[in-house]
Amino acid sequence: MMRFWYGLFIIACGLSVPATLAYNYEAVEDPAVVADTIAEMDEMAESVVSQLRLDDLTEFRRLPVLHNGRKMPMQTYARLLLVQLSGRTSYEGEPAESWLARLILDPVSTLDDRVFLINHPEVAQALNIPVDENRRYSFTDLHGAMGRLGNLAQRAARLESDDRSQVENELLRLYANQVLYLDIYHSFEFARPHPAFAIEHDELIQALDLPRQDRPYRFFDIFVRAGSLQSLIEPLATKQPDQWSDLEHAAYALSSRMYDWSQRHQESTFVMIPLMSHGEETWLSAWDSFALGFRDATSLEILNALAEMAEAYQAGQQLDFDMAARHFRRLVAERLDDDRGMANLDREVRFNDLNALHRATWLYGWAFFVSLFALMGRSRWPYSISLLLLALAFVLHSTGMIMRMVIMGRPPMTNLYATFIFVSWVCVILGLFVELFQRNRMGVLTGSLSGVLLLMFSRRFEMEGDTMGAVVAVLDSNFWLSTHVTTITAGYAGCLLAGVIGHVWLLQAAINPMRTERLRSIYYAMMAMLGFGLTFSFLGTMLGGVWADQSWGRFWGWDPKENGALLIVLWTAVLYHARLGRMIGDVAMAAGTIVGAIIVMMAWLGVNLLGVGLHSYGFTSGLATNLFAYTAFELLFIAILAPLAKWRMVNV
Amino acid sequence: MKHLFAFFLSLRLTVVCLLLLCVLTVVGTLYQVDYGLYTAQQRFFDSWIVLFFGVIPFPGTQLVLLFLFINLFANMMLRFQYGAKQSGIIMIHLGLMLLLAGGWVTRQFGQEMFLTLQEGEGSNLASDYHDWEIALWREGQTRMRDVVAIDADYAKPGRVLPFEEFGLRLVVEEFHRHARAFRSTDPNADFGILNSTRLIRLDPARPHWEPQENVPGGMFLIQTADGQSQPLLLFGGDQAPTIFEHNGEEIALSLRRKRYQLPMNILLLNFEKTFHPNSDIPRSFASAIEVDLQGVTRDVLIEMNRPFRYQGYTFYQASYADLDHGQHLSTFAIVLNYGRVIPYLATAITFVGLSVHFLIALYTRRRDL
Repeated sequence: MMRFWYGLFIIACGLSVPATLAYNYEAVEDPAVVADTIAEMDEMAESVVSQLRLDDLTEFRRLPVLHNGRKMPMQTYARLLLVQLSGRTSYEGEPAESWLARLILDPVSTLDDRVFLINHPEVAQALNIPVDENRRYSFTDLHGAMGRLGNLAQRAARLESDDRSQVENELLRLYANQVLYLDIYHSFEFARPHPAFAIEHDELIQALDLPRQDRPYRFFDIFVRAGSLQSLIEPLATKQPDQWSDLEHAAYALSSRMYDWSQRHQESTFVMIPLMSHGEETWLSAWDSFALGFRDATSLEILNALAEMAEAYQAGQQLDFDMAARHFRRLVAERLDDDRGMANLDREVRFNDLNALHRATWLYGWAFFVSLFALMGRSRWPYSISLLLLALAFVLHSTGMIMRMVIMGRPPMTNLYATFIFVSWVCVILGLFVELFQRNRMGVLTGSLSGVLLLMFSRRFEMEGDTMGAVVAVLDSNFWLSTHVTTITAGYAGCLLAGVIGHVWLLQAAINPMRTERLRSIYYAMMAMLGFGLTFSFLGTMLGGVWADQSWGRFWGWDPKENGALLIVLWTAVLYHARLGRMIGDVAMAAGTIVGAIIVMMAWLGVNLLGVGLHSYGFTSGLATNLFAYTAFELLFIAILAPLAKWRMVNV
Repeated sequence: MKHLFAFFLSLRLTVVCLLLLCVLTVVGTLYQVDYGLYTAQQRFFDSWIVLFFGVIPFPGTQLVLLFLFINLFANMMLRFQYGAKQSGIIMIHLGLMLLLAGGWVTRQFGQEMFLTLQEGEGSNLASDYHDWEIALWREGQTRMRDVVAIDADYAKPGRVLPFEEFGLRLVVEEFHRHARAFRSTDPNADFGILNSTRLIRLDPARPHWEPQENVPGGMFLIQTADGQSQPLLLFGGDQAPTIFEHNGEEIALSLRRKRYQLPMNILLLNFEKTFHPNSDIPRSFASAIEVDLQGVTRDVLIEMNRPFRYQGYTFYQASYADLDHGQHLSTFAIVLNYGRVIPYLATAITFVGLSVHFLIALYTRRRDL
């Protein structure tokens, strides 16, 4: 009985909801249409659950998929999909690509997988489903509430986006995810035997030259014989239906079903088949290839390779599966004629497997902890270990960043995520330099701390989608990306590290102000970082002006991001001049560098929250709260430590 | 006098000015959220005095920059030590002075305008973003047209706009920077108000955040030399000029964006845009134009990040619009700026100065760098 309902919903949604881009809320359709498709549900219920699983998906995960305008390997797509649905990059220990392979090639096996994340318990309550502690639900859990979800989502979609509550946004997200899931669920249906294509009419089997078999045929089996089917039904245009023979009736019914099926899954977002026409690259899903009637030899060969792949997967035949996948990939590569792009798919798989940035984050974390021990004790070995860990993390970090650059063919900063990777990298280099010059453990401590904090924060962006997304036209300038963005972010790094060292100085002055030599060297490192930060912030800000002059015809326009960068320069200049005029002492200087770090964070991230100006690209939900908490913490830190340090320095 | 010197030489003035700039930058940035970039720029960054809450005076960015410039200049003349060790500091401040001077040149002599063309269309007239003019010409002139125009800023109620060349003058009855226009629901009714699109009434509207969105309108009285007069309505949104018949001539009247003549004729040959596959993420925009420089033509491609420059004029790809039948409109931002090289130079000098200064400081292990 359960399958009966699955079938109903799968078909209903396939018919009633045009495949949408994920989060295209405007496309929420009338759920009432759902009820009209009962006739087909029995057929769907017969879908085959494969008992065989393929373990090795090496070939599968390097297949090309187009997503958000970018070619990516199936593995990356699988991770993005799973993150979007469940907020995780794997499903209960199963790699994302393995789960995706099941979803497209053996979809019934995923119906009980708890992959739908519902962040807000009110959503589950609104849908009358038992609230799950892990906040994750399977399609089976949700199927009873599909009609209600459609209704609620439709209502939420009518509201302006600013007027929607968190619950309404969550409803829309869940609805969009359901649609996406079903879209991919059906993507390879053409390659599976289906009761809709169980032909009992012997004459028709013969006429279409189909092999005799016990199980139903596949959509694809009939599609490749579309010519024969067409010649059977063409004469019907001039005949009355009561004059049709049995064969003609059967042929007509079959062709109507073929048409219905080809139309049903049009405009799927799961696109794997490139098409070059008039020099423009367009990608199609398998269903769109059918619907648009691409019956040229290559298109058929490509579809055939996909069908063979699906068959081999269902039969558990590894060798056949790999060969079909390789064949498909070769055909796509020939059509695209883009060797670099295809090689990048393999590079991206290697990048994903190496997981360098995550590993570097862990190593930075360990380096930081060990360097704390190194500070406390007199023994030398914790220091050596922390230095080694930091160096190892840095090598991994650099490898990850360089691999990203090679894959994207761009400098290391094309989006907010990438600036985190780069700024943390510069912070670590600066930390290593400080260590090289001073050998007082300060560089290891502050470098590893900046590395681990910034990389950890960058993971938030990974949860928001593709971090190697296509670059919009105005940013499409490697020269300016590599000059302006590199220098301004290097400036951020310098000022941030100065702020981190400022913390250390205040702590040292408050805890043990007697160690004047140590205080002196920390102060020196802080000022060096501030100088570096000022130099590069200034250059970066001005190069931004140069880019603006080149692109928009004005050097300076008081845009929020420009103002943010200017503020860093102005504040640093205030600190230097106030120091020069003896208006502030060492304590105020250290506190000033911490304020400088707050200004950097505001210029870097806060400006995006304003939602105005040319630079308001990556908005991140929850960012405002985090920034506010960070600022409050820092101000509290200064309010307590600065007077304490001053008092201790005078009185101890 | 001595006090004045001390004031302008003091490092405290530098710090105060820099702090004031910090405050203005923060407030001006936050102000943009509610009032838009242009208004914020006018109020905080292009002004000499800012009134907080409408009453509390606060120095505006221009005033602070002037003080900073004088402070810097005075210090460079009287207090700076000139030697190899100070070479970095000197370069930094020299570069900054140049930067401030460059900003002043751009502000005083720069001109920003735009030109929108359909494919196949050419023009040598650019329009202003904000300023409007009331223009008159005789209809029937084909290749060249003698136009007399008066700035719309001059149109205040009660004022008279003389157009002696045409033997008439316009008395301003009302004028609104941003107006809404209305026409009668009865297409046959005659209200005796002259307007090309049969508008009969104007209502003032709240000026827009971005002043280029404002569409002005005014009610006038046309007075001829022989003592006749007729009510006239000019609206910035009129699709065609209003025609007034006088002494057997057709005189066209139009309220239009202020025009500037360019030293060349620009013909838009083709506009092309490309997107990343299967997405609406733009990959590139490009306009192929033919530039006619007094009879000598050349083909130029203007792309995002690749403007076309000629004699102080720079043309940038600013925006586009899709028309029917695959036709496009392409809009170029045009900037006339004689001082555009100055910030480049200033940046280079200051950066070298900063690098030299901090490297010397690091090398000599000076405590405060």
